[in-house]
This record gives sequence, structure tokens and C-alpha cells, in this order.
Amino acid sequence: MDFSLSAEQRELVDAATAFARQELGHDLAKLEDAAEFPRDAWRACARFGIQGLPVPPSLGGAGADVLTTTFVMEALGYGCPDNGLLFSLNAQLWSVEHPLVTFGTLAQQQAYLPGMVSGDIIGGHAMTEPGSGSDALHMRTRAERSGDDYILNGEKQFITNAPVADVLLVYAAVAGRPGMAGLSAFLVDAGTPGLRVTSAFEKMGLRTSPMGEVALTDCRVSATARLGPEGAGMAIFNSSMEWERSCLFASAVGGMRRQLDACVAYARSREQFGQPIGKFQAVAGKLADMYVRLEAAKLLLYRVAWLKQQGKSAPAEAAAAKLFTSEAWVQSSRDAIQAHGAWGYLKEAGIERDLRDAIASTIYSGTSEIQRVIVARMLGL
Amino acid sequence: METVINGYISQEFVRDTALLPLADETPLLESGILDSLSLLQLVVFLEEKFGITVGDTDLLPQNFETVNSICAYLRAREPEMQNAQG
Repeated sequence: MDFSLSAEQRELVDAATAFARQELGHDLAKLEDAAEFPRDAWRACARFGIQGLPVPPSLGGAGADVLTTTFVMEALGYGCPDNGLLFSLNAQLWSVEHPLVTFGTLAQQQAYLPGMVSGDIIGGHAMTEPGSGSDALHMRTRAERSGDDYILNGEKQFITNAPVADVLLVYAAVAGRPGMAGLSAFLVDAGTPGLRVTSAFEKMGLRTSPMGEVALTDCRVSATARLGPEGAGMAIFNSSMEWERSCLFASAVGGMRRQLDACVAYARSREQFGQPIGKFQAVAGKLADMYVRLEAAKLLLYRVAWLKQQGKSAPAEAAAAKLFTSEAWVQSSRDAIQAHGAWGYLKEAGIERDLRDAIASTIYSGTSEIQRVIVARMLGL
Repeated sequence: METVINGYISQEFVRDTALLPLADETPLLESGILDSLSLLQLVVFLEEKFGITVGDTDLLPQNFETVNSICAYLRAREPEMQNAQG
């Protein structure tokens, strides 16, 4: 395994960092207060090529490999403090675009991917329900075949991007096919009769990433809207989650590096008792621990990306990387506030935001508890 | 091949001993012997044991419905398995 960047990757990462610093995160405090989706920043990301990273060149994308994509998402996390924007981007990249690239027909790919790459189409995926989260096989949303169509009925909850989405990848169990055999996914356009997206949730963090509920009432979609064959839902979902647990958390690693840089700069400049606070071992040790967590998280994630690049399944490795990185991000966010003292606790400093955002990372894409279940099962327990 | 896979599934995933010995035609998904997590564990076992990679698009019910269907899927991958061994 060689994780050193090629000259081309270095150039791309530097450009992504500069882009994120210059063009993203403007008016973030205002957007956060209003829980407003930063549509201009979304479009700027599309112009830079973020939404096109996993999409083949024939459909307008860059066709970037997994490691390159991981490096770029890390650079975005480093340069951009708007974790909500990055979360929404990642949700589309790994839960909508990647499934379309992997499982979609050419007609489905041509219908959605060029628009997603250009920033004109926003996607979300609708799996979680009021009564089922990680236990996806017990979802209640049903798809009933009716001639050349399916009729969808059910409710989805906590759906990222739903309030702004032009298309949702909706998971449903096909009537008459029990368990995994029936779990299927459907591309449902906003505005389809019977599809209703209700209010955005008021969240503690990731406030610029809109989240809503989806109700499906006799929502009729063509069989051509089904992604992959009947019963491919679990394959699509597992695939999305493994990629998401690698690439999405690269943005968290970038965020941890941004925090560490800020803490080091502050610890070198802030003086107490006649010396920089970084000269006190209690402060220096905290920052050293932040560095260790950052480097460990980075290596775990890079290894998952490398395994995926080899075409290998990596459920235990992806779960371990997700578990460690999300928990490390929370701890580093706490340490960053502590290192800055009262200044770190003020909203205007922009340091406390990372803690509010990081806590969500221990919940989305499967909670820390579920990641431990996955690791334990892979150990044969 | 059937013996190896049947043995692994019987030992790792069959909780109800009334289902043992496991028939190669027993429905693994409908019966709940394989759930979403044990399926991933089985995939890792197959990749390591037979030197193949199970692609995202191969993780379909028809390839994992029974021991026989898993073996049929693997036999379709035999050229890849031979390359891995060679």
C-alpha cells in the first residue's frame, strides 16, 4: 500500500484546498442560523468538479479513482468549515451518484448524472423509516407491481437533501418477495404525484444540510425507474454505505486537520504566565493527542479506499474506519474548544460548530453502536 | 465446493439446530439464515477462500439464495479462481 500522492493528485488536492478556502463557507454563521442550504456553494462545487468525481467521463464526470476522491474530499474538509454542505455533497455522491454509476441503465445514467455533475440536479436517498434504521430488512415501505409500473406506499424519515432534492432513491420491499429478496430501489422524481416531502428538521449541527420526511401515497413510478433488478436493494445499500464510510469521512479527517492547525496557531500565540500556552504540557499533550487521532483516522480511511480500489469487500475495515474517525472527530472537536478556552465556546469564533457537526457523524451512516456490531460479526462473534 | 460452503454456513450462521444438516437447497435468505450482516461475512469468506472478488453488482439474492446457487455463482467465476491460484 502506497498512499503517497502523485504529482497530479497533489496538484488536484492543492487546487481543491484553495477552492474550498476561497469559494466555500461564506456567510456560514448566517446560513447556519437560518438553516439555509448554500445553493451557490453547491453550484461552485459543481463548477470545480466535485459532483463529477465518481462519474465516468462519458457522462460528464472525472472518473476519479477511490483514493484520489478520498484525497479531494479530505482537502474540502480541510479548506471548508461548512460541514453541512460537505455532508449534503457526500450524501449525493455516495448514495445516489455511485449507485447510478454502478447499477443504473444507460438511460437512467443519462437522465440524471450529467445534471448532477453540473449541479442542476440534486439527489438524496430515502432508506430510513420511522420504524427501521439499520435494520433495513424490516422496512414497511412497499412497492406493488401494477402492469408496467410500481405503486409505492410508505414513509421515510431523516432524509438528507430531501427538501431540496430533484430526485430521491427510494428503497421499498416488493410485495410478495420476503426479506432481502424483495428489497429494491426506485428513482422517484420530485413532483411525482403521491410523493410528498414535508418540513425540514431543526437540527443541532449540519444545519446547512437540509433533512426532511418523505411520504409516499399510491405513488406510481414506471418499472424503468427501478435501479437494478428486483431484490438489488441490499446490494445497492451495502455498496453505498461502504463507499460512504470511506469517502464521506475523508471530509471529517480534513476537518480534524483544520482544527489542529487552528489549535497549534492559537497555542503558539496565546500567552499566559509569560509564555505561549503551548509550552504547558497539559495543552501540548492535548494537541499531540489530536495529531495521533488524525493520523490514525487517516490511515484507516486510506486503507479502506485502497481495498475498494482493488475491488475487495471491506465491511469490517470500513466500519472500523467510520467508528474510529467519527469518535475521533468528536473528541478533537472537544479538545479544540478546550484549547481555545472561553474563546472556543463562543459562536463567533466558529470553533464550537465542528463539535455540533461532529456528533452527527457518530449517528449517520450507521451509529457507532452498529459499527461495533458489524466489526464483531466480521470477527465471527 | 458444496461441502465447504455448506459447512461454513452451518457452523457460522445456522442458529436453529433443527435445520441441520443443512440441505443445499434450503432457502438461506427467506429462512433468515443469512441476514444483511452475515451475507457480508460470507462474501469475505468466499473472497478469501476462493481468491475471487465479489463485485457490488453480484450481491444479488439469486446468487445467494441457496448453497447450490452460491456454488453456481462461484463456478461461473472459475476462470478468475484459476488465475488467482495460478
